[in-house]
This record gives sequence, structure tokens and C-alpha cells, in this order.
Amino acid sequence: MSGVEIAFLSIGVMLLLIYSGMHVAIALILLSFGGVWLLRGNFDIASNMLVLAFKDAIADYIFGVVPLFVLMGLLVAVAGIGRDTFEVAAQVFRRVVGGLGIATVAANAVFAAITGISIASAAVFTKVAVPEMMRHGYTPRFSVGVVAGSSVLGMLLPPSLLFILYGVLTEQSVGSLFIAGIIPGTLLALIYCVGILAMGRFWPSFVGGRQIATSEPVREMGAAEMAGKLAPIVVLVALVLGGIYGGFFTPTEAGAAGALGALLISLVKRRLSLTSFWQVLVQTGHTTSSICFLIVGASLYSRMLAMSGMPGWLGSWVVESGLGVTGIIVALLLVVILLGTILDSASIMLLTLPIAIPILMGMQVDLIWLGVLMVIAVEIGLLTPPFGIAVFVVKATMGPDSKVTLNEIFAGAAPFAGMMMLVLVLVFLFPWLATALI
Amino acid sequence: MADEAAIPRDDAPPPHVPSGPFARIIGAMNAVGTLWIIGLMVLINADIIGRSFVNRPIAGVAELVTFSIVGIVFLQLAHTLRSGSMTRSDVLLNLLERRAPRVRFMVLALFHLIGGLLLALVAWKYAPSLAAAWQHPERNFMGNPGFFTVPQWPLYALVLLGIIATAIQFLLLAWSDVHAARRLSR
Amino acid sequence: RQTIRLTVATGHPEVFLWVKHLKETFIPAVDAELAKTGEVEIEWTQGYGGTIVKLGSETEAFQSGIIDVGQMSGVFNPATMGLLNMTYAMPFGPADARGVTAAVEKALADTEGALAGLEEATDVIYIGGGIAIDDYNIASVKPLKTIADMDGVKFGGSGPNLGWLAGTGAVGVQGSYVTFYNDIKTGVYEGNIGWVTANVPAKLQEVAPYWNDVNFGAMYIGGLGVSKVVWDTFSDETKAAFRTAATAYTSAYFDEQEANYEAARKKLGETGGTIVEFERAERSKWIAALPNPTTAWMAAADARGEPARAVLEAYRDNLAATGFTFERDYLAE
Ligand code: NA
Ligand code: NA
Repeated sequence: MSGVEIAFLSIGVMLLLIYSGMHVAIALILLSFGGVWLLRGNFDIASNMLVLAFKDAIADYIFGVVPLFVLMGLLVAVAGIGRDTFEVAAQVFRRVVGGLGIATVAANAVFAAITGISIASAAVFTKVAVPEMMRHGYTPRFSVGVVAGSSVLGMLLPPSLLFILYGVLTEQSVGSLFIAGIIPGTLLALIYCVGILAMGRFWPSFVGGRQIATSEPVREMGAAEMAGKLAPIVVLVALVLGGIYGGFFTPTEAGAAGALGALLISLVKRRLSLTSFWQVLVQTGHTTSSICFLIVGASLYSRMLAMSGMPGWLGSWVVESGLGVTGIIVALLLVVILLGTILDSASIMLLTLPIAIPILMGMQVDLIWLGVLMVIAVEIGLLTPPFGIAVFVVKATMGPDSKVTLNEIFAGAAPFAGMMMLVLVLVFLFPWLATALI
Repeated sequence: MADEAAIPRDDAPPPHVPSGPFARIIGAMNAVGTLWIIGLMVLINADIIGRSFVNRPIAGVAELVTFSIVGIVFLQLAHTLRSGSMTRSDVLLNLLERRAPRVRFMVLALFHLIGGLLLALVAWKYAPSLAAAWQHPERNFMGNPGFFTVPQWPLYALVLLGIIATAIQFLLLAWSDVHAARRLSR
Repeated sequence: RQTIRLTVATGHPEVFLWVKHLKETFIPAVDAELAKTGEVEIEWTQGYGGTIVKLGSETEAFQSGIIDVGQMSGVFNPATMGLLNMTYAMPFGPADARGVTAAVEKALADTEGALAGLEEATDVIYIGGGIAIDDYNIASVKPLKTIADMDGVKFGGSGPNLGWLAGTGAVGVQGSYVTFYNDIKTGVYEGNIGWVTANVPAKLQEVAPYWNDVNFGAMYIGGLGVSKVVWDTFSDETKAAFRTAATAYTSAYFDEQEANYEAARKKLGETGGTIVEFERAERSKWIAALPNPTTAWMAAADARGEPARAVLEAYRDNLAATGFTFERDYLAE
């Protein structure tokens, strides 16, 4: 069997194993092991590969802050800060079906300014927004879908780890890339809001919003009460935003600062007992463990695919297809979206850009514009099955007692993936959306 | 404290898994990992404060954070699996629960067995790294001499412990699945 | 006719010249050499940018058979290949990257037990292909001319070069080219220790416009390696082909780097950057006050049983033979 055949076989088996209920990380590790064994014909190399990934796949500062972002989200939830915020939002948006969905999107857009990774957004808002939306009568499917869908804003709006990676790989200015992401990111948030309103109107069973209008809270909050309920979240966001843009800490370190801030606010508000704090910590650990073990599996799988030569084969196939510049870009984006179903974001960039960039540079393509297209296309993969890290993070953060299945989260996120496609097409057709502010 | 309901308790194992000394061991490992998260938060904040206000960053924070995340994840992995928090898809399993509960347990037993064997393989291949790091700390450290270094053997020991514990937990799950399948066939 | 399947991989992506020329110069050169007799053909599997092996895991990837050919780098694998980052222990050396590389490779080859010990301990064969980064300097948001200008200023850098700031009152913060731009922009630190052919493509002059020539010197980062198990199966002809290709690699690397160096300094000026000369007398004071940078390096190498002092002395003497003398003889203390 050729490398490419082994790669495609592994994808087929992956689909089968994951949907049959094997733990996703175990399926990825198993397939990587089997794939490398077949590719190299050597049992020792295949097993050594596993050992090395267990040592180095998550040995990175960026993963070190994952538990702290999770902890921040859980503290915000357990201290009732999230609930207070959403009660205010519920009152403000009470005449709008899907109003809390819009509030979640807006909150994510704000949170995007303090995080560079989507995993953080997904973890935080799963704990903060999902229980509140469900409490207000939204369907579980819609509630988790909004959170997974809007978590992509974390990497489309600056700061963004994906733009930094793209900038390093293509020697483009990180500052320009960040600015280029602002309009498309804002546009995506707006389209999400319009989409939520449209779904509320034409597909209310998906949103679950109808009953909201009838089950309105009897008591209206006054302005002072609303301000009081919003104060803690405003303080927290101001602390973290101020810390980042005041040069005190990096967006990566923001998880630690935010977790400490949330802890202090919870203590001041006397909403945290020792028992509940311990529970929060235990769940933080479980969520982190679950996400990071998945990342070990994903890292192994992408290493196996790189060894198989499949991404290179796909890339050269696109490049040598004799398409014009537009054709090549479209084909590149399609390949990226396809790879997004099975690979994590960074791996896709590392595997495709070195093939595509030299050719596209020769064709005078605006690499800042291409960067925005690439990041959107790569991020669609966060939401698509079988491997969608944003969806997995939502699932892991929901905890084992949650009745929401992985499939429901994928289904809930699907309309949002569709809206991302729309934004991708818009940025493709109107490049000024990316370049206007630069 | 009505708000606590927002966080479901997940430190209690699912009822069908028998508890015993092993459960206590992985419970203790989980607790250490849990405390470590607080340590991590304190470390990064101390570095931020030291750097921003007294011009004294903490040397080696990058290495220590890297060291910590690996340690935390593997200390808690077995308990994460036991608590049912490890991600998987329920599409087929839920279908089987209604239509063919016995088949469901057999599928689960097979998957858990594979997980256990796979991690046992990793543990077996991982062990020599620990031995080498212990015997040759001068060749197995993180960081840079003269700036900050931390030996790798303690981390390797924790990771190996975590992999072994997770492998055992997988095999225990497989065992209890087999029992459940047998009970249903009677 | 024999076909050998080899995997070549690096932790860095192809935008780094030392990876680019692995693909563009080294591999084609090996193929061309082998095609002369046509007895051996190599089927390469290539994976750069950490897609197969993560940066810092190269040594273990070699040892466990995951990669066959790749970079041997002391900077990125200090625990296993620390012998190869000797120039970081001898800062304020010459700016001539080619000369530094030649002096290092000669020191490694001539010192008894240096390369042999490294190969024995790591199971990786050093085949040449040494390269060095161009002159390290400091980019900053304000001009630096004296040690007083550096007092209390924070600079991003990595472990091996943050130590060079000792005694200046400047504060070293760990970072990398992935984080420099954003961290300088928001003010986490006010500049970075780096080299101009990386700073300018990363457009760091947009956030830290002053390029201060403090002249830490060019730094040798390593060479090319082949796993010993694989190397031992090679015929003499194949081995010769690899060594010839490694020489071609070094030469192509430096040709491009030197062109880039001139272009980058020119572009720096054209894109809002300013080159500042750090006062020579102040630089001398800095060098004199620096805690001896060779101490920790030698202790670490000695612990591994490597001929630490002998290698450094050979490096110093090789440079002296070409006319460069360190302002301070770190090894005489
Ligand atoms: Na962001
Ligand atoms: Na996906």
C-alpha cells in the first residue's frame, strides 16, 4: 500500500471507530500507531513515536494555560457571575427569540480580545452560557451550538495564535494580520446574530425560543440592579483587557490572571465555599486532562499523516492541476476545509502553507488577504466532524453527567459552520473586507 | 449556595465501577494534580507581578509551566477516564443501549481492552526513558545551563505512573463491561 | 541498484534558511552525487515545521528511528547536544558567521573526544553542514547607546542569550519569534535580542524601530546529522555523497544569508527602522562586568564527560588564527 492509500484507509477506520464510541484520543493514537507501523514496516518506530508524542505533544506553554482558562470559566459560573450577566441579557433581549444566543455571540466577541486560542473561549462559555441558555428554555443543541460556533471568534479577532503562526510561516506582519481579521471577525459575529434571529423566526424548534416570550420574568430589574449584576464581569474583563493592552501580561498568560481575578471576585462576593472550590478544581483537572489527551492523539495523527505524504500529495495535486490563480486559491481552501474534518488547525497550516505559499507568492496574491481566508477555512474545521476540537472542548467541559451528546453538539454547531462558509465566500469575493483597515 | 448546582459533581465514579485501593490511589493522584493547577496559577501570576512591578521575572517559568501541564494531565488521566470525562461519541452506544444492551457492553469491553493494551504498550516503551533520565540527569533536563534547568526524571516518573494507572483503569472498565454483558445474558 | 528510504524532518518550518536549504540544496545535492554512479537511489520522506518531529525532540527522534536525517542543534537540544552551542557561551565574538562556523567545526574535529563522544552518546553522526546565525543584536523601542540606557528595560529573548544581559540592569523575559511582535507591541517587553535576518522578515521594526548594534557576534547553531544505525548501512560512496552535499548546504546557506543580511539592514532603514551603534567604550565595560558566561556551560559539558575547556580553547585559538581576538579571554580566568 502506498502512503496516500494508508492515509485514506486510516481516515475511513477513524470514522468507524469514533462513531462506534471508542474514546476519540484512543482511536487517534491507535490509528497513528497502526499507520506508522504500516508506513515504516517497523513496530519499534511506531511505538517509539507514541512515546515521543506522550512526552512532547502538550509540553508547551500554550497548553500550560489551558487549565487556567477552564478554571476562569468555571469560577465565573460557580460564583454566579455568568448567571447574573445572562439574567441582565435575558431582560434586555426578552422580546427577541434567540436573544441569549446573540448575547453569547457578543460576549464571545468581547472575550476574543483577551484570548488567542479558541479552546479557551469554548471552555469558558460552555460553563458560563450553556446552563443559562438552557435554563431560559433554549434547546441544548442550540445552546452548545452557539458556544462552539462563536468560539472561533477567539482566533479570528486579535490576538490570535493562528494569525501569529501564519505570519511566521509566510513572513507577513503579525500586526497587519491582526488588523485584517477585525472586519471579517466582526462580520462573522453579525452574521451569527442575523442567523440566530432567522433561525428563531423560521426554525424555532431548533432554537427552542418560542416559550421564552411566554415565560417572561414577572419582576423587572431596575437599572441599578442590572448594573450591580454586571459589575463583576465588567471588572474581570477590564482587568484582563487592561492587563494585556497595558503590557502587563501576554494573551497566553491572561488565563492565569483571569483565573486569579475570578477567584478573588468569587471570594469577595462570598459565593465560593471550600467544597465548591474543590469541585471546581477537580472538574478543571478532568476537562484539561480530557482536552490535552485529545491533543496528544491529534498531534500523533497529524505526524502520521505527514509521514504518509498525503497532505503533500493533495497540495501538489492542486498546484499542478493547471488551474489559474483563482482556481488554486479555491482548491487550496477546499483542501483546508477537508483536512479540517480530521486535523487540528495548526497542523493544517504547517502541512499546506509551505506547498501553497511559494506558488501563490509568484502569482502576486495578497498574502494578508490569503491569511484571513486561510484562518477562516482552518477554523471551520473546529466545528466539523469527526474531529472538531471546539466541539470536543464543549463536550469535555460539560462534564460526564451532561445528557448532551457529541453528535448533538456537532449538529448544533453545523449552522454556524455554514455561516462561516458564507463569510469565507464574502471575504473571497470582496478582498477589501480583509485589507480595508491596513 | 444555589449556584453550585451549575457545576455537576463529577468526582464520584460511575456506579458500575467497583472502588477499592486502586480507586483511592488514582483519587490521590487526581488530588495532587488538582492542587498543582493552583500552583500553576500562582506561579504565572508571581512571574507577571515580579516582571511588571519589581523588574524581577522568575527564571524558568516557561520550563516550569511546560513541566507542569504534562504532569497535571497524566496525574489526572486515570481519574478522568474513571469519571467518564474522556471524550467519545455516544451515537451508536445510545442506540445499542435501547436495542441491544448486551452488544453495547461487548463493544465497550472491546474498546476499553484496546485502550488498556495500547497504553500498556506505551508504558512498556516509555519505561526506558525514565531509567535513562534517572541515570543521566546531565543529559536529561529542561532549560539551559546557567539560566535555569530542571531534571526530567521526576516528570517522566509521573507520566509513566499516569499511563500505567490509566491502562489499569481501562482494563478494569473492560472487566466490568464483560461482567455486565454476562449478567444480561443470564 | 539499491533504493534507500529515508525520513528527513525538522522542528523549524521552511521559512528558516537552515530548513529551506535542507530541501532546496542538501537533498538535491545528495541525489545528484548518487546519480553519478547510479548504484544507490534515495526515496525521501520530508516533514518540516514540526509536522513529524517537534522542535527540541530531534535527538530522541533520531534515536528512536523516527527520523534518519535532520539537524543536530545545541541551541534547541541543550541537554543532549549542548556541546554544539559553544558559541553562546562565548558572546561578543566575531560577526562573521562563516568564520565562526569554520572555527567551531575545526574545534570539534580537532579536539579529542568531542565529536566522537557526542556521536557515541546520541547515536547521531555529525556529517558537517554547520551553520551560524548572523550577528546577534538588540531591537528596542528606544535607542541604546550606553549601559545606562538599558537599565530596567525589558527584552525578550531565549534562555541561552538572556544571560548576556547580566550586569546591565536590563531584564530578560523569555520569548521567541512567535511572541516577540505582539509582546513588544503591548509592552510586555521593550525589545528583543535577535538577528537582523529574522527581525526584519518578522517586521519587528514596526514595533521596535531601533536596531542597536551591540555585536554579540554570529552564533553557530549546529549542523546536519544522520542516525548512526542508518549511517552504518551506507556504502563509502553514499557517505561521501552526504558529506559533499553537507558542504554544498553550508555554502548555499551562507550565500543566501549574506545577501539577506545586507538586504535586511537596508530594508530596516527604508521601513522606519534606525541602526544605532552602541558606544564601544560602554560595550567594553559591559563585557568586563559580565559574569563569566563559560562557567555554567563548561560545568554542564563536563558533567556529560565532554572535553569542555579543550573545545572552547580550540574555538578561541582557531578564531585567533584568523585574526579575531576576544576582548576578554573568558578562559584565562
Ligand atoms: Na482573539
Ligand atoms: Na473538524
